[in-house]
Amino acid sequence: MGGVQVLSHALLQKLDPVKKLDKIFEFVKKGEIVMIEGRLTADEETTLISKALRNVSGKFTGIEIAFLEGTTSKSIAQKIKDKIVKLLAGDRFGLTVIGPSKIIKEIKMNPEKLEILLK
Amino acid sequence: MVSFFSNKFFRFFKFFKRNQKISLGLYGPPNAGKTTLANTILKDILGDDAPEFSTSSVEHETRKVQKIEKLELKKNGRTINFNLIDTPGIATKIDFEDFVKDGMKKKDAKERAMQATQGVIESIKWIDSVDAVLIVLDSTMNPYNQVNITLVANLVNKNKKIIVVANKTDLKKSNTEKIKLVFPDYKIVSISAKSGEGIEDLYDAIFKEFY
Repeated sequence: MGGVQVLSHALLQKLDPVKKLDKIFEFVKKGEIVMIEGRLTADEETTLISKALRNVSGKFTGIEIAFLEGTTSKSIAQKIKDKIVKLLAGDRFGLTVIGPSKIIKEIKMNPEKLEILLK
Repeated sequence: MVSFFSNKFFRFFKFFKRNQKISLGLYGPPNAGKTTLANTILKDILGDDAPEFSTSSVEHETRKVQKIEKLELKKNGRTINFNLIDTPGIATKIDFEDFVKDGMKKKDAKERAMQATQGVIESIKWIDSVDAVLIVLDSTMNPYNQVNITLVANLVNKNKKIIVVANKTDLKKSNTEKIKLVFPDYKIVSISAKSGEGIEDLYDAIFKEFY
């Protein structure tokens, strides 16, 4: 436990949305940090948040989630606009980090980097 | 399929038909001032008879969706009829130990955490039931986080009309420019729900965006 799982877009693309979220959540609930190539859709992210909260107990207190787009050529406003558009449809670019909040204290986001603070 | 499109068309038509009642949701992270804003709106509309919802500096004070029906907002001869839906703050984690740190007894903290968890799930479910949303953000906090971005994207995805409310402008650390930078495509209104500053601007925006 306490490892890092890096999941490719190709691997997740083979799964339907329910199985995809089940797979991600299975790792996170075990105490692992999951890094995904690309990003989830807005619906998938919301479903994952609900799923995490339904599983809150003494040992599991929820998740931290953040997305890094990874391109640097656009203005910040344009990047954020693109991010919202891509969040609606899903995207293979960038990196999503999801982990248990028992392990991750905070993820500080900005459009060009993620800072993951562990407990 | 036909039913899906007819439902969408009906909702769209109903939304823009003047004087129809709309469901106006207050959404945002915990402690952004959603309930304080709800109280301010209710007092402006109902006067001294307005109910006052409980607020607190401890997160997750609102743990159930609170709905006030049949409200009328009047301005410059126009009226919007609406139901106000005040929702628990959206969060991705809830730890009872955080409430213990705030001075709560362990048993009460566990109970609060359980109710808060249910509250967030209920908030998310209610997204489908609102027509328009005020996304209330604490302007002293960094708005660039995944919960805020996911919330906005989800509302846009579901064709909800939104206004972003930069709250707590009465505080020194308030930075509404950061919110404008993070959400450049949306109407942003800066207010202090506590002092009432900017509230008339918010009502103007509601008429402009939702009427």
